[in-house]
Amino acid sequence: MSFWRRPQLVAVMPDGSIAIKLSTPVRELLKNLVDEHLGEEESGKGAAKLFGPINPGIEFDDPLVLLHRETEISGVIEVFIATLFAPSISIEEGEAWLAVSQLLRTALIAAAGIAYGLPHSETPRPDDDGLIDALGLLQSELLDALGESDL
Amino acid sequence: MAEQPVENKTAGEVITLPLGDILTEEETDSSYDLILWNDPVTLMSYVTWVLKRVFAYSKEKSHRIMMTVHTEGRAVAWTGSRVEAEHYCAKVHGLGLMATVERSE
Repeated sequence: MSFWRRPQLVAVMPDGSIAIKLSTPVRELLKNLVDEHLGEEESGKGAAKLFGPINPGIEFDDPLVLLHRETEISGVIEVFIATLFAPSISIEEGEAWLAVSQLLRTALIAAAGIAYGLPHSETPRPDDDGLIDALGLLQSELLDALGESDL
Repeated sequence: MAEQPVENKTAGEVITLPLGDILTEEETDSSYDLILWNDPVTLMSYVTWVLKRVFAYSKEKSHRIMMTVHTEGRAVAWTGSRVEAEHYCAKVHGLGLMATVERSE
């Protein structure tokens, strides 16, 4: 009898840092995905377009609020890119990895034309969801490392 | 209503104005909802983590809101002034979740 166990992508190190066990080609793929789907990482404007208006009830969103959103997005992308090839990352950097993984998944959902706001039982999943699932696995293990797995 | 010290630059003295004189009534109106929207792929544990991180909610409250999003397609994550709701929404977008602000019903 044999037991299959999926490879572990994330490990918590004795010093409390987080080791991301991804090969260099996979890290380069992540960099390309960020460039392709989130783009303009310095301004955060590329990814901000994914979300549309913040307050659809008014004619124009407050420019300060839009700037806040772009700053939030560019902040996590900047940390992610800066630590993409690091052997281990801090908890705060791990949170940026979580956020960028989510931004990439959001971009892939948008590219697949999936609608928001339906109950889970009524929402179709994208046909080609291998990449979305792989990013989800990374997120799941990062959440484990952050002690959020019991939720 | 809270008061904010404001510097009177002409006279160089500090005067105090009611906060309502600086923000419009609509901006301070505490009847705006931040709506969180469901999608088919986001991890339930991730949504719970975002709610805890952005709003400092307890694990139980975060889980309850997440389950409402999951089963009903949307949930009110926070209610308050329009300005605060919009900035919370910016933070939620920065963590990759779909959210909007709308006037409470």
